[in-house]
Amino acid sequence: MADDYRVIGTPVVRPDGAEMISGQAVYGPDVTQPGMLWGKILRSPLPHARIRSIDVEKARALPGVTVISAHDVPDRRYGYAIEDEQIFAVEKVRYAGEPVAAAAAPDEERALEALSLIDVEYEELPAVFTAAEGARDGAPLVHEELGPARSVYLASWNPVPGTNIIHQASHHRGDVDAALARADYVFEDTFHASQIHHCYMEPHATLASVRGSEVTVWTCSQEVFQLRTLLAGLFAIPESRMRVINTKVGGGFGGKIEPRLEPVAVALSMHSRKPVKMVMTRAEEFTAAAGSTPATVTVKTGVMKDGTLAARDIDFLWDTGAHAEGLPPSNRAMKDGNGPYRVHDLRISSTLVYTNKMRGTQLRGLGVPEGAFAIESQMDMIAERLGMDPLELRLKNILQEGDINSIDDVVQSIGLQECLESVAREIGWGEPKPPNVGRGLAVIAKSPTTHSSISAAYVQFNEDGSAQVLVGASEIGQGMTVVMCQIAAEVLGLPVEQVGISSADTATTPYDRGTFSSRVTFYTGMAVKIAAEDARNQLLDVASRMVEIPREDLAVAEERVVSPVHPELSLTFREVLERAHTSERPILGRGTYGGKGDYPTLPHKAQRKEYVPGWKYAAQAVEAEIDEETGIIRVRRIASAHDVGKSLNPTSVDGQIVGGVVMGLGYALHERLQFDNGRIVNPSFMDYKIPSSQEIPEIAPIAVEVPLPEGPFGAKGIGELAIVGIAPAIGNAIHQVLGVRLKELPLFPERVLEAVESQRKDHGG
Amino acid sequence: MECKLIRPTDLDEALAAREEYTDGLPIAGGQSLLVMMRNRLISPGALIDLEPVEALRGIEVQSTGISIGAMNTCRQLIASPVLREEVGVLPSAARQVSSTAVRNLGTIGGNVCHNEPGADLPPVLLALNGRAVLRRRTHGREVPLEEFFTGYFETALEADEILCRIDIEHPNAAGVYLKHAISPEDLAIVGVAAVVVPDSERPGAVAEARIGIGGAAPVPLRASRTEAALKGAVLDEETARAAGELASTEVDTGSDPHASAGYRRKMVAVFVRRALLHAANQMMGNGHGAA
Repeated sequence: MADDYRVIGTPVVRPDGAEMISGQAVYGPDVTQPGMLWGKILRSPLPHARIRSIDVEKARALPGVTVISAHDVPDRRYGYAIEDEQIFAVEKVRYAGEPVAAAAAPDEERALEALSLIDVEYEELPAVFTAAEGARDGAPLVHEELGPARSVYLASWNPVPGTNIIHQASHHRGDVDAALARADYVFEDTFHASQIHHCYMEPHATLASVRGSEVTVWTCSQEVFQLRTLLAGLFAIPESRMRVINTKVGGGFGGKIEPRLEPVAVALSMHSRKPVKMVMTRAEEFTAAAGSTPATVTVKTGVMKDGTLAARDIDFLWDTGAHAEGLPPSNRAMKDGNGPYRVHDLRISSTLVYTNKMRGTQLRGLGVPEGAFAIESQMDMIAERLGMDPLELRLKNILQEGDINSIDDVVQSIGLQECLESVAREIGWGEPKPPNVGRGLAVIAKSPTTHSSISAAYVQFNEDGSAQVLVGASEIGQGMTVVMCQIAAEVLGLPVEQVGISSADTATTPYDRGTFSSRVTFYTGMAVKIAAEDARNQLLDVASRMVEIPREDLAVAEERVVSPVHPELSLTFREVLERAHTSERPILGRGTYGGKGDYPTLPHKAQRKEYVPGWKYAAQAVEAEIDEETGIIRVRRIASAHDVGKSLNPTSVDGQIVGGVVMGLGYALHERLQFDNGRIVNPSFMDYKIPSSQEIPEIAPIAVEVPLPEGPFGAKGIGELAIVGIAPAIGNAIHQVLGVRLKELPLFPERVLEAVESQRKDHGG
Repeated sequence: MECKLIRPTDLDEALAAREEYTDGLPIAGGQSLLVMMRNRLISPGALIDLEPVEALRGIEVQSTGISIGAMNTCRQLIASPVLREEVGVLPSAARQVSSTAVRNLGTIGGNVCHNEPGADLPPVLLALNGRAVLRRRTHGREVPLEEFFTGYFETALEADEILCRIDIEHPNAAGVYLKHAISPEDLAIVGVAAVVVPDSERPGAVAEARIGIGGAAPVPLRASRTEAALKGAVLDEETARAAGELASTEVDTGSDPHASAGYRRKMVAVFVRRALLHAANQMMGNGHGAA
């Protein structure tokens, strides 16, 4: 692509890379404060039980120990999706792992000792462990009443009173039933996506310090401003007295969006009047933090003989566990559930159900992986029945520029076909292969982030001519800081080393909605670009007055102010800033960027919402070797092509793709939280398997660049989609080799073998 | 809780400490022990560090076999020219134990005494007719490994004993270890060692085949009925398949988050068959082959 950017599009090394690989970076668990205590949480051992009594007296008798339970904290509900949670269980516990009390002590051992002295008397209640059970009439209720609970996330949420159904919604276009009746073939299949864990390497860690009227919280969070608002509201103090400072975040993947330890740590610090540090153990992460929100997806697709998709009816049933953090994925599925296909007559319904388990929340791709496993598996089933090549079937039906998509927007800036063709080429689609080797494809899309997607940035010139970027978004390992520095450097005519960045401190950086949903490159990136342009223009204003040349005739290049009209002019930034700082004013650029629409309830056109730019598209292909006798799948190669609009930093883009693919590989093959009566039985990396370096195949990341006019330098988000298509693509490869269709994730050897054996039985073999 | 670290300088001191600290445990490489302590599964009052004890080191070829000091790390087993030459199956299994870091510190003695289901060395040592050489302060004893592995995470090691060496036969044989695990560094869902001793009279036939199985059951075991059925057999596809089926009936398999009992049983059949054929090929390929 012919562009003459200096910094954009180059593989700039991330400025925080050296400290990360040398172990110097300060992550959540590394933060300390003088005189701090250690906090620990006593958690419910039962999935559903009435609390008869809590006796903390023996624990409180230990010297130097602070013990608190529901009586000692504000009686307020909180939650980003729906306010259905309190700091400690009140009256009853709703999942095994729910906080019941907490202790702070000078060391962890003493805090644990205090917890062991707390007597809680429970009366066990009947419980529900699956969404289907939970949605049944007369099922035991997880939340009897939500009283004044409200949804911050949805303007109108639609619970079914007297049931565990916390939200039900549907998106409908055309006449689905008539279109299905007209179709030459109708396919109906049900798929199950498992609950996985985010498995960030850094556990949740928080240090809260209450001094006088000031509360400071150091934590590893994807959204510091949301967190501040929540904590300030919960403890009834002004946001101006509540400061949230982000530490380095060792991976988030959606698991560090909502509060976990922070409310408890603040409460313990308020009671003990000392700073309190809390770090989750890995077992707590697996049993009490959150997982993905698992779904059962039933897809009915009508197809014409020539392969044209005629109609689709998709039903999602989501298991959100004891708290409704599954609302965002369940809601998103209505926009994204159909995948990147042209289907006019469409119905997507989504039901979110409470159960007595650890909550499901957002996880990389929120809602897209669950739907894509169903849709992309069924696409291959359709291709087989029609005798069509799965590649051809997809090429025939995928969205193209100018098409109308699932939510009635005109498709703009789409590089999906190029993605699909490039992964097919890369994986050797259609080329000869041994009989035990299969190849599979998937195409995927994710809609833009619309809900309150707001970002702000400051770009300030330092006295020596270097610049400082301030943003409120979180660096969670994805490489946001290097990309923001590149954007500012490009605009300011600075080498990227001359740009520094501070991020995610509610007291010093401007507002940002946070790091989620592949939104930072686009939204925060635009805010930085606008702020940098503002700073550059202010700099040129000062220069213009110094040299008496109109600003329009001035430009920046290589740390100097230059002029095409006056080639002899060469003024260093330092000279301009000396003038600015001595006799004019400091230069502080300001940029804001906001999501245009907000259509959490569909169809958004009915709400007169405008087109929101920033759909993300990708295609993935795998080649896998399958051992028919053992069910062992060895993935040999993966190609993953992403329409990134413009690759701002090819190293970061590759890193995001490879990381997402590896996560997708675990999701596809092995990862699942396993339950026994609501208790998680594999809460460690021994028993919950994520891919190790040894099973990671050759991965070919491919960046396709169809510029998004609204994005910074044409860029789109890249963070999430790489996890999505691996599972269906592997499922399709398995089918190619063994002729069996696996409809439940993960695709682990025993399940593969069972499918082979049941097929043999069906064929009387 | 306090935990005292004892550092004996020789075996006598170590045995004396073992007798004295009744709530103590010997620590070898510590790769499992320390994790268990950290997770508060055990809290020994003392750790008796065997690292300085010279008598627990070395790999010695003797007339009847090879004697391996309990403090040899997996890395040392892999690097040993003697083992590679004489019993290649042992270093090959050692190479499949966990990760590089664990192999650098974890020892054969620790691996055997921990007796975790799915550990890679026990099935191989069983198939090599291994014997545990145990000492207490006053005297010593030898226990065949089949009797040493007594239960789930349990062995015949008494509270005042130390495992000093593992003696294996010096076989004129071929051998392989095959492992089924989600990730190569995991414990085995099923791990099968097959050692075949060629019949010197009848080319192609085996005088005996010894099969060690780990992972599938709570305790690693020898598939003794299968072994009996294979005495004098020619190991072709058919025989190996039947042997696999038979072996799968000898194993009391269990379920855990990695695999069900039923799947494990099927995998015993597959892996025993594959291991036997693999070993037979090796035997034919290089005359006698090194186990």
